[in-house]
Amino acid sequence: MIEHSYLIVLLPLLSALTIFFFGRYLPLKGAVLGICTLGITLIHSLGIFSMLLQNPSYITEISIPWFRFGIHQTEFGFLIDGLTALMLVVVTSVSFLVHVYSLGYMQDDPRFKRYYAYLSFFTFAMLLLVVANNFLQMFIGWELVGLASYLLIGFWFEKTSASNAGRKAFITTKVGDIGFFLGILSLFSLLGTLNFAQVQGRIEEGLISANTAGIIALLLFCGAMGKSAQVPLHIWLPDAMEGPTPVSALIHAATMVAAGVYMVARSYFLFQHGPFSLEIIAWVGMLTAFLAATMALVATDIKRVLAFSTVSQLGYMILSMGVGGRAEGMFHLTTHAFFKALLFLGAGSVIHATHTNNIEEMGGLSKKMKLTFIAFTSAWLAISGIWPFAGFFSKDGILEATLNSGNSFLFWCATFVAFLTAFYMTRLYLLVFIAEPKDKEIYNHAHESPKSMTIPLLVLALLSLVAGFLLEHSVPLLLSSQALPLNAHASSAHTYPHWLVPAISSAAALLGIFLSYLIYWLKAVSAEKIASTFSWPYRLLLKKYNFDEFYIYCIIKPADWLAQKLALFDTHIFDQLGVDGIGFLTVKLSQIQDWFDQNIIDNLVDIWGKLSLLGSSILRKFQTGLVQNYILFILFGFGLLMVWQLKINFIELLR
Amino acid sequence: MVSLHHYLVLSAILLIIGIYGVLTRRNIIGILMSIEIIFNATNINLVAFNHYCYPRAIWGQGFAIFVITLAAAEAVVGLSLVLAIYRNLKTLYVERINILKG
Amino acid sequence: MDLVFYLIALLLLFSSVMVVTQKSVFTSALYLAVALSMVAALFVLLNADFLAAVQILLYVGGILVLLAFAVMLSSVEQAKRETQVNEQWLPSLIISFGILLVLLVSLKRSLFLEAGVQKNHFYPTTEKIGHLLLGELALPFEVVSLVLLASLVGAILFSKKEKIDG
Repeated sequence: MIEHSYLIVLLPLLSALTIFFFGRYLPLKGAVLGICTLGITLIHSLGIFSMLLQNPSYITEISIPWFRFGIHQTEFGFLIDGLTALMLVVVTSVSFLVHVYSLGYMQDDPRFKRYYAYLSFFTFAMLLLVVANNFLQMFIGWELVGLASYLLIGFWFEKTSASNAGRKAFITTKVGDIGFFLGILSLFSLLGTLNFAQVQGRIEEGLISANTAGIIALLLFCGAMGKSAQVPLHIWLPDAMEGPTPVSALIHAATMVAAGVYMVARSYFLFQHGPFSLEIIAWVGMLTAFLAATMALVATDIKRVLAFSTVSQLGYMILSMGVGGRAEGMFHLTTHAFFKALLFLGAGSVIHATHTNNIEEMGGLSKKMKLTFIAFTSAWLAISGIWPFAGFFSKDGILEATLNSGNSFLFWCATFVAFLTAFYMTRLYLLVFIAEPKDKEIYNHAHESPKSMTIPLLVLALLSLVAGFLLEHSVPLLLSSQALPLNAHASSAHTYPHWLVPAISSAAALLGIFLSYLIYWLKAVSAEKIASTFSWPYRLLLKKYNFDEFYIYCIIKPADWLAQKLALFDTHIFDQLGVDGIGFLTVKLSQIQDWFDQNIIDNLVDIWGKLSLLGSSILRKFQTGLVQNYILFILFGFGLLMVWQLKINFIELLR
Repeated sequence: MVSLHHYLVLSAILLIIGIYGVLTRRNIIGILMSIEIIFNATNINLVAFNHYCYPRAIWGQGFAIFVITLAAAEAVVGLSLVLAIYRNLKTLYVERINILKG
Repeated sequence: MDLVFYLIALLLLFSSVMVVTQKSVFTSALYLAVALSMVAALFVLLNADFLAAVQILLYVGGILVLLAFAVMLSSVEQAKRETQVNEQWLPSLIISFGILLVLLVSLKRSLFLEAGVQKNHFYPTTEKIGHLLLGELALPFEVVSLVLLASLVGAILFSKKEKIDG
């Protein structure tokens, strides 16, 4: 089974191409084909996963040579180890469920076929990224998922905001990708290989110094910052919610945005070799988690709340990586993929029912949408970190790792973020499902979604419930294959009781839920009053810390200004002086040439013509057509020739 | 005493007469006759050289025989052409035989 | 002997001039007969008896008769009325004399190795010519016979009445 792992990548590609070109002839415009393909890949992935669970050190690498520069060869290959297997399961399962879910969600869309083609294409790209055995192939997958993301964010491109959001996402991530690519280039020039195992081997041999490794790691992390929406490149993710909701669930919550985390986990040896990079990414992750969580407090668009939450959770994962909790980060990635996909799909179900995104117009939907409500509850508890839901285990792991790293500030910050998460998720939950309906019309028209949507929801709800139990020990087991030395001070700081961290995190979560309950249900403290009391921070949060404005004023406006000035320079100097001047000169020169042509060259030609006319009018007379005439000429010439040959002197002859 | 030069001068004059005939005669048959005169001038030359320079040899006369033979052949073909032309064009004047002139 | 030569030469030149200048082609043909006979006489003077006979037989008896036939087959009346000399006779005359002059000059300058001629020592040449033609000149002889054959066929072909359909 593992030998045919290339099928996992190949099948979605074939399915994407088939749907794109022949979709209209297929049942349900190709959706069935996409779902079946994904089902096969899912089963395949599960098989690989279980194989690796039994034997975590069973690493398979298949590669074919791709191209070589001198002695350096780059392959195109597949690497299947624990990390890959985990990601394979996450990607294929969420993708499969989203494929199914989209049947209901997109059923009336005019570009249904294209949607499924894109979705399959995204799955292909993501799997290519995941199974890559070298940085270059990973980068290719990385860019292809970016492309798929762009296409799907701008799927409803008739809306200006959607097409703009697509562009914003593409360009913002591209900023990070520059760093990623520079990192890859540095690796290749310094180590002469891009294969993960070889790079790791050569780094462990000490081919590059710790500082160099750290800098390269940070360059790679730039890519992760773009893709995983870390501060300051997080601005695209909230806007990316313009895409269809299942897409948000798949790409912008579960899989693609996790690619950055996966990449950090994959190249973790680099980060470890230059430990200062780990510290930096820990702080970046922390900052992201905190800022995004605070922004989520005030957002009113249901998808934007979830988007900020995603950014916050991604920051959490990066923080975990930064403090040495690689397994915990990947674990959180997995659980987060399940419950965040569930949240988005649930939100999609809600939007499908109410046709609005604004949570302040919803309310009381628990009575109308029982199944969605149950699923959403599960997701809510999971993300808030309530035992026994999945989020509890993974978040707990991260907090523990943070505490183990010895940096208590980071730990308390993370705890605070956990509190904030519980708070804003509860707010969302209450406003959408529990509170009194604010808009009667919306409430009356709301209805439960079709089965194709609710079944994936329930499956994911189940997963959110049990994933924590199932995977708590298997994830570290899977990741142990890449035997990494633990941080020096990680194990030594274990001087607290093992129940401490769970207790603190549970307390924080419960506190958040309670406060939210107080404000939004019991209305003990009015939310508006708090907003008006802290009006300055409130507005700052509403404006998302002015990141967008900052970019507009500091980067886009100056760039525009520069471009305008350059355009002026172009039109005035280059166009008028340069191009027009040369044009003017050319015209003048060609006028002179024209005169020369007309009067001298032409006349010369004419003179030749007239000369030959004259000559021929003389010579023509000789061609009489009379044979005897010709003979006369011949004899005349013959006589002259003889006179010349015999040197006859006629004067002498006469004498 | 008649020398070789007498014969050569005679044959030169005969040749010139033949050439003049070729140049001026309008009738094709006249031209053919002039050509016969030219042939005869040549034959006189050949035989005279044979007689004066190599009296024991006979090659000059042999050559003259060939010339006579070819002259006969020429006359036959030429006259048959003349008759064909006359039959088609009803004329024997060379300046009127100009159907190939553009 | 000299007198005979001059007489023959004079007659030959006169009749040749008449051949090229006579208005009537038939008269020209008759003068040509005289000229060819004179050439035969010259051959006799030059000890070429066989050649003289051939000259008479072939030229006077064969070619001339052919010419006479041709003249008579084409229209004779037409020839009498019109001029038989074209308009370039004057330049032709000048150039002819020029060439004659040149020839004479070159003859005057040239010197030929003359072997001593045995006076009045005549012996027949027919046998020697026969040996020559069928001995050393056998190949040219055969070739000439082929040429004659070809001209014969050609003459028949040309003089045949053309079919309209080709």
